[in-house]
Amino acid sequence: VGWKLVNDLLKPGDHVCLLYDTMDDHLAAVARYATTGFGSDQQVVYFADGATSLEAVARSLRHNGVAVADGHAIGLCCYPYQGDTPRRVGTAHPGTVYASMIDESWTPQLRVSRDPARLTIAGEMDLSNRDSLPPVLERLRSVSDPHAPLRVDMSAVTFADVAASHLLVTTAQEWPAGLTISGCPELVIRTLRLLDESAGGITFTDDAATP
Amino acid sequence: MNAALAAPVFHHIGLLHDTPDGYAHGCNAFIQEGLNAGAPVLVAVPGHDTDVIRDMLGSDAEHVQFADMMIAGRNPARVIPWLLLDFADRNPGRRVWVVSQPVWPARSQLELTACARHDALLNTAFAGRDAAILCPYDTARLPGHAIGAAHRTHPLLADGTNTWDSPYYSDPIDAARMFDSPLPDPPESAHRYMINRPEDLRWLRQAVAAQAQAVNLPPVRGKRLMVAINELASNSLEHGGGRAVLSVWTEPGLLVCQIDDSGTFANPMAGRTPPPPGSSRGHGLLIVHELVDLVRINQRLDGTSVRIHINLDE
Repeated sequence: VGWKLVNDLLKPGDHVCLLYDTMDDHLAAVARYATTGFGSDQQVVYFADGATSLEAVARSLRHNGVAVADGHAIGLCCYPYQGDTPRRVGTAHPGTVYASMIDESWTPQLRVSRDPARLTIAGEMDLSNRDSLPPVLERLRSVSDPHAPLRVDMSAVTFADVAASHLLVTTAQEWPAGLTISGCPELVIRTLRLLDESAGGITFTDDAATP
Repeated sequence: MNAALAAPVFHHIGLLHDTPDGYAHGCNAFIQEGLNAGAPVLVAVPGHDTDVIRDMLGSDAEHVQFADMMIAGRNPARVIPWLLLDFADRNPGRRVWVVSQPVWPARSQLELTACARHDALLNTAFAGRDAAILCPYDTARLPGHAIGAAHRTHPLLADGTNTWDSPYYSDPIDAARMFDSPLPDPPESAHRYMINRPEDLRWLRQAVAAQAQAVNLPPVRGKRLMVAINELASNSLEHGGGRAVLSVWTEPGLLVCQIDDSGTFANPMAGRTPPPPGSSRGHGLLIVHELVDLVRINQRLDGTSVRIHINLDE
């Protein structure tokens, strides 16, 4: 694979979908990813679809000079690229990427992180990652204080399509104490108000980011 | 004008006039009828005509809401959802009276076609609603085909003295389809971008931003264009055969974009009426209609073309 998945490209919470063409590409990518992780003393978990690929990846890792013992595992979603793959899996992965698109300046298009009181969204929300936010919201619903508004930090959001805005509007309507959005880009505020004139359930705080 | 207009059903009337006086008096009679009934009245006509009507109404003008159609209805596809249904929904349970004039002589051919589709689909959008909408047509200054369209799209016609059933009125959806004339081809010199997968949207937006910047579009309007193109391209990826081509070019005073895909545009009311409450789909086109200056959707034999205009001279 002609690319380097550099460690600082990824941050905790990133979820990257890597699409590959051949088994060799797959193994090389996983091995490189894992080697980078091991190289910076991180834990790598790899869920494989069978013993064959586990062994093959272990072999590639040993080839890279990584001492692989049983119980070592690795973590990156890899899908063979077949016509409809992105459609089937891509939208659930905020960082879906084609091997050929990665260079050292690459960052995931969307970053979503949460703690019980706050959801932080950064990057561009569009069709390519449309399915990644609902499961996070679902999880937050079960761990958050139902009497407190959900705080959403959108100060690093640079684009949100209409479906993403609509998801925020419906979340605000369903969340018992509503949403408090900080740093919402002006254009997104406009779309939110067009979708729900009163933007019912949404409180905007901070200065809006530059549109 | 006609006492029967007060009946609690939808009346959509084409006012055919050929003099400024005929225009003013025809509008005034209609507005007075609404005011006499104590009904909410909206006058949405092009800028200068707003002043004409306001002067004519005198002190009655304070009971009338005004909108400049050159702004509110710049894109004719915007008028139903963002102006007329909006006004009706703000006055629940009341009969609303509206003078709605999206057609004026300086409109381009492409815009007039969009106006004809608007006036046809208005009949479907307001079916069963309690409203009276009067649409003035200047028979002296508008091209013949625009007047012909008025006869097809308005169940009632009026000339300021009489009101009669239009013998040419036809099924709104059929009429809208009839006005869906093919779009002229984009020029050879247009910039073209292929969209094959959702991951392409990111650089597509960058390309659109660059094009907007190249024609010195103010950043806010460039962003709106970017949102609109992103929605149309997303629609193509999801429902339009999974791929699309965006063409971008300039015409005098305009930045023009067209998205071609191989999908079928099934619902003629898409983007004209809000999707049912709770629906997570169908908002994209509604927002697109609000964001740009013209949207023309053409159903080809082998797919769908959507052309949008951004006016550069403002």
